[in-house]
Amino acid sequence: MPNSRIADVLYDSETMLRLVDSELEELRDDPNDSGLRGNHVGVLLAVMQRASSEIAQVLCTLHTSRETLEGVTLQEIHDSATKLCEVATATEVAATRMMDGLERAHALVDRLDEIDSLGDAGDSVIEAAAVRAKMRDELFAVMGSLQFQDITSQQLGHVSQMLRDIERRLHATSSLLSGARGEAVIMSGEQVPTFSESASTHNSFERQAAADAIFWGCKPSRIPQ
Amino acid sequence: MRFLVVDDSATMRRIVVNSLQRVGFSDVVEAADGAEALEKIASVDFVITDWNMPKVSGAELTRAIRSCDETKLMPLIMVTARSVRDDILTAMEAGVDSYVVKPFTPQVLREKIDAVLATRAA
Repeated sequence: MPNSRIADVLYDSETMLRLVDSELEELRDDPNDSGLRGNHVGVLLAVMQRASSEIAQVLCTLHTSRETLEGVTLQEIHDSATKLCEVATATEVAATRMMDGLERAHALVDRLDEIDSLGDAGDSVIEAAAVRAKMRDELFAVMGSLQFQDITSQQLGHVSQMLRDIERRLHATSSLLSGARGEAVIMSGEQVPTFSESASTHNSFERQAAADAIFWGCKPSRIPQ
Repeated sequence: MRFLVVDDSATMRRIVVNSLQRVGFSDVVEAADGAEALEKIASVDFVITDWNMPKVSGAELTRAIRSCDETKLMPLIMVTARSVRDDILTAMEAGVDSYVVKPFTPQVLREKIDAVLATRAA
């Protein structure tokens, strides 16, 4: 049922209840007039039947809305919480990897200092070259770990999108109950994030292997003729 | 060989550029989205693009490149966090030559580049 229809039904129900109230008031004002009372009771009965029908319709609509909110919104809140946990874990893992890499690089710098102190004796030049190569590997691995930023920003983009959806639903529910109409308020200048729902820092080798299997398994020839 | 790296994340562009340098490709230009990439496409030999970008996405960029006579043979690799089957098939249909899932290593990138170049040479 569209929100405008729900608001109309609510409005009509409220009108019906006012009519019932008005009839009851008139009955109370004329307690000794039995003819008038009989007439009022008949009108009151009809009004109450209509009111009952309207209220049943509203209750049905509210019940459906509640089910929708429970089914969709709660799932989105659960998914958002899961994504946020993934972001927290990915951040922690990346920070640990970077710290480990930097500590190893630091140890390699210490080793280079030791080699320098030996002068050109023995295999020091060869060892120094090997240590430098190893240090480059470590520093590059640290740089690679920074990819977590792109992936977690996509995960956060996904969460942001889900929160917007929840906001819209809550706003619609609020409008339904208040009778107000209009769209959810979106902050000005807000950018719609670009993201992938499947973005993850987990199992990158397995996911690459699966992607290769799909890509090369389905690929006829990618070179345009 | 000149590479064009397309990604809306400046950090990711730097990581891809450094990865390319790491595996021996130092001539690289960058673009922050598909629209900017199309402006620079004429001066490059190989495109490495992200998928999720504002304005023109990586898939749209690929289709644009494949639909133009001057660029339809351009080697192109998609580097993206998308890894579900439908996304990979969509990228294939758009015309990518290979597909790299983030996070990636320079070695994986090098393998894919070599494979694409070998296919082109065959």
